[in-house]
Amino acid sequence: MSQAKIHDVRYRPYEGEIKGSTRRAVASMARWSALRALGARRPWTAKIVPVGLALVAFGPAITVLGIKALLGSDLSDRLPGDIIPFATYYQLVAFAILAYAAIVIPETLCPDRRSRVLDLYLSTAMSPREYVLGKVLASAVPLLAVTTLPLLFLYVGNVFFSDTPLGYIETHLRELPTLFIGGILIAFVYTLMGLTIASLTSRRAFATVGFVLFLLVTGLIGGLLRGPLDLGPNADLVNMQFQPVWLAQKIIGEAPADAIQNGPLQRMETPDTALLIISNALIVLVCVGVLALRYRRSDA
Amino acid sequence: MTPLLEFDRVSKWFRDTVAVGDMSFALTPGVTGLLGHNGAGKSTAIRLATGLARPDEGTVRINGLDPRRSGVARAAIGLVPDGDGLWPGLTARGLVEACARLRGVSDARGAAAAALATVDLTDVAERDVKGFSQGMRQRVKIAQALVHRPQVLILDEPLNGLDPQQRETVIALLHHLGTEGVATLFSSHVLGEVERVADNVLVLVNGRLV
Repeated sequence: MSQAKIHDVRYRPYEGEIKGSTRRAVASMARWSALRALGARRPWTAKIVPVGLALVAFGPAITVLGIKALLGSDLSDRLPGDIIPFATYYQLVAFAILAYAAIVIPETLCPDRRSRVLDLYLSTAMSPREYVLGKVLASAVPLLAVTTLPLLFLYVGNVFFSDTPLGYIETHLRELPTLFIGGILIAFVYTLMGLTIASLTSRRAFATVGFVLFLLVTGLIGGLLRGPLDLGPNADLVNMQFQPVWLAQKIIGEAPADAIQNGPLQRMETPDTALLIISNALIVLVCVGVLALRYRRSDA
Repeated sequence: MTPLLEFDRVSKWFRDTVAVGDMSFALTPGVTGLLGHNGAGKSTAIRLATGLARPDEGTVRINGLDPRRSGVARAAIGLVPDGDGLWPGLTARGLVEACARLRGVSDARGAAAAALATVDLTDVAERDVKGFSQGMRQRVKIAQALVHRPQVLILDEPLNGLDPQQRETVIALLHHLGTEGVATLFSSHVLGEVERVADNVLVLVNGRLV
């Protein structure tokens, strides 16, 4: 019996340019991971959660601006200066931010371990550090849309519906950069917290449950220390639920007293600013340390 | 001539178990088979070669560089991992294109199309890899490893799941890559397979070359 012989293996080696820099590879991975986490190229059910959370985050701003549009400037002037002060906006949308961190962020990280593609990433020129950086970008950039855009939307809407738009801008000019700083802080810290917990497992469901349990347990301990044990607001530093939110509120500045008394939210005493800075810095350090340990080349 | 891949007295152990012991070899263009029973240390040797694991003793070099420290060294590698290591929810073209971008290929689309043509997957390039047979998935993994014109091709059990015709095609391809200057290291536990494919054979028993 004669044996068949393959004469043409069709191999045409790539002759084009290969870029040495890994920057493009990291950006490409980040974009792709973010799109996947947001439901791109996946069934519609995977898109519901991110879209729903974005709508929840925009909800208060749309409501406030809707009221102003419906009532007109005459009536809306009788409302408290700011129906929802910027500093308290985060309290209203904290659920959406935390839910995003719990549900969407694990999607950027867990499938790589579960599908065993980590070796493919790390056998390229990309280093484990760059891999983690890409995942931070993939998680933080969409979260930034939730933590920053609704407040900017509210700001622009307030300018638009104000009797004296220039006057509003003059009065609230100082708040504008703080909205960015606060939004970036919240997105960055929650991203690191979400990724750190997700790095401990290859199962998204476990990561989500782990993140929720972590917040609940620390919140419960904080509540116990502050309430029954009466240790004061600084006892809440063990509560990981709102550390970045509280610090962002301090950065944006306390809302005017009349707005708080007359508005829908009451002021809650939060830990000292210096202690909040330290605790947020510690959270970042611990998260970076755990991620570095989980994504060492020898353990990949 | 600097070897494309070189192991110099490399050892790796996990607690009391020696996974790889005092392994030395040097690869130049051509096909080298890594033959060993299950648990002989083939996969550990491959992880060491790709810089995914750290040797406890000795050195691994790709083009004279340590793959754990040098991105340039790793950029020269094409890896076909064992198992199902593929991103879910991507088409064959999307997956190979993504790998091309990860490896800095400027024309990712063109390179992906050429790599898929090499493994005869052009007709199904737009299909989700989730629905692929094991043999098709294996060929996608080979395509993604070839997309950036690697100098060192490392394949972990690459013939698993392939039908006889696909095996012949892949074997011919590996031989051809040797003539193109590529050093290929492939692992297998099937002696006949290694004899047919490899120009040189490394036999691994309990982590040691014999």
